[in-house]
Amino acid sequence: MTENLLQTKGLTKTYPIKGGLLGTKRIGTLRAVDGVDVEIRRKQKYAIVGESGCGKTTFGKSAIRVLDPSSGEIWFDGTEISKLRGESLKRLRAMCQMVYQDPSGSLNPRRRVKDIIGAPLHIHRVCSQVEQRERVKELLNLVELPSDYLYRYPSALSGGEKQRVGVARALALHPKFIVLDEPTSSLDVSVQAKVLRLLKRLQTEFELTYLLITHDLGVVRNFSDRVAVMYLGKFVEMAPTETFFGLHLHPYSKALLSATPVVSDQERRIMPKRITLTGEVPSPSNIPDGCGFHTRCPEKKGDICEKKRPDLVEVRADHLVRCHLYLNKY
Amino acid sequence: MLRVENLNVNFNTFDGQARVIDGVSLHVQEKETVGLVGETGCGKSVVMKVILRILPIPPGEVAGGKVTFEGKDILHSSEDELRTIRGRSISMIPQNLTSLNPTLTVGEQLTDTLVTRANPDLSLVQYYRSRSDKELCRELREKAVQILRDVALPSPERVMKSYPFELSGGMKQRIMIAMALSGNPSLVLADEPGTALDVTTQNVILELLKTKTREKGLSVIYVTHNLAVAAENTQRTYVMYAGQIVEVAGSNSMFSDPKHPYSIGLIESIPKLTGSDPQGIPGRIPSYYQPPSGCRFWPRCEHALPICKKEKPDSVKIDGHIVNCHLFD
Repeated sequence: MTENLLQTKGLTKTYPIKGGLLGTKRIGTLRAVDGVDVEIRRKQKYAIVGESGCGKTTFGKSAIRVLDPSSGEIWFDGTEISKLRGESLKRLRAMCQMVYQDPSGSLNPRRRVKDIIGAPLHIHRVCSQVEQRERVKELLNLVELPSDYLYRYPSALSGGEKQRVGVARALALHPKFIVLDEPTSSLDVSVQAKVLRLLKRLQTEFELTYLLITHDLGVVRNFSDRVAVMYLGKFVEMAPTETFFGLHLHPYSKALLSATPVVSDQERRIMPKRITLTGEVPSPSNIPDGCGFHTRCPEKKGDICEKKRPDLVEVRADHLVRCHLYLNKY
Repeated sequence: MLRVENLNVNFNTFDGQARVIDGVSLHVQEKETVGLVGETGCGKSVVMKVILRILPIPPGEVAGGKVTFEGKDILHSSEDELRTIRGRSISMIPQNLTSLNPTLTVGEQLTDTLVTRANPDLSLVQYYRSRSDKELCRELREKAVQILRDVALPSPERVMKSYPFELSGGMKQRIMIAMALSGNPSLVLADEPGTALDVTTQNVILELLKTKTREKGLSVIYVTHNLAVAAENTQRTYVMYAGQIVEVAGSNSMFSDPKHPYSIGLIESIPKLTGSDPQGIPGRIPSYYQPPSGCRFWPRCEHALPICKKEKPDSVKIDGHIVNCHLFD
């Protein structure tokens, strides 16, 4: 048994941009995820932060074959899964589940809670009807919802309750790995806190491995063990969460952290000086040469940033940064 | 400058009467920035809509209270009077980035706003006449470009010819700020400014709004569910729960030393960058059809006393906070 539950090597997802008279000619390529290497350990809570459009959701979906990656390898639990098909892919699906961002959009409004949570059990034919009802009740219990919710429709639930149903559905098949795609970004803070606590509890109870996709650094700080910052389809900084919040090296990480609004003075003390980024994020269909961030970087060194693509370098123990500034330091 | 006193708003629906706003009082002084925070569905936006009298009535109904702006009674003003207030004295930055008309270019929308701002009683005939006046149109376009330049939009001439879908979220938000400020209002209602945007863009937008309003000496009400936005941008913060104001205080003191159990729970729920273990608040927001008697927070409050169920708490002043809670009687 390997230590890593999920490992990707050069995972890339591109989309063709069609054009021409009939819309069949390929006139460009959009690189949503651009060669991502990641190792996620068992029982780890791994967080990816980045702004909208940086490719974090596409990465999360490609890593568990919800989307088919364009190139690269994915190793899950010691097996290469990027080319799986048919029955073996279906078996993989049971092990990797996903909780979606928009709780209202990801639950069928015309089905009852018992059918929504029971759907994976039904599809994978794991148990009889009677057992299924028992299992659904058990799952509702796990996510701290009363069992009379079985016969409700999603419209009769609040946002937090809907997200709990989403979590129960993801847990139905005893998965090992769950991708949490912005699980709390549509919830109010008091509800968010409760959902995150629930997810943490379930993780220790079932020894789950999480990949958390979020844009909220506060959530990252209090939830994850390890964090990767993503910009234009690439990881620009990877570190254990504690280390990252103590010392963040990439100029983009600094900008992201300094832009996060905070409420307490203690937080203000650890914040880097406020950096206001100018300009817009470049389009992933037209990624700039060299470092993708050089067009907005406040610490740009010069020509090298525009011409040479920086590699992800381990600048300190277990702390990787993709930036020319740190080539000769540490 | 703006004073809302004991406002009560009900919604009459098929399911009965929803008592959404229950005795909300707030005031804004000249050149003051005020935050109105609370969770989804607590009635923040309803209060803003009553201030501008754009709440649909029916189903809404103002059951009591008073709204005065610069001495004028808003609730009893005629539509004609309101037209001179909306967009000129009080303007609103809408929450939704889709508030721009998708079928008109930014230039058309901006010049339209300018035409109607200049003459609130414009008839349709006059409007079309002004549209065909080439001299006037050029003048308006120049003015619009200037307004766009003011909010630091790159290449305003190109933006003028663009439709909203061609622009990024940050650019749309800038345009809406530009529109809101173009009538030289004295009070701006910013409804969830920048919450639809990424943090780095939100940061830029809030900075822009701050410098622009400070430059012109405007009063601003930030309506937001993001407490940190209120903490960083306002002088005074109102915390609202289920249609009632539960606490008012200077923003610094509100976020470092909240008094009301709900404010405490809410502020502790925010995941901190320094590390914390947020607990959340047990229970959920009550139904407005049968709101809890007395203090609306008692079913979720861990310090609830027997009196909380019976009587609505009065305002108590402690350490510069005004708290509506029986614990402090």
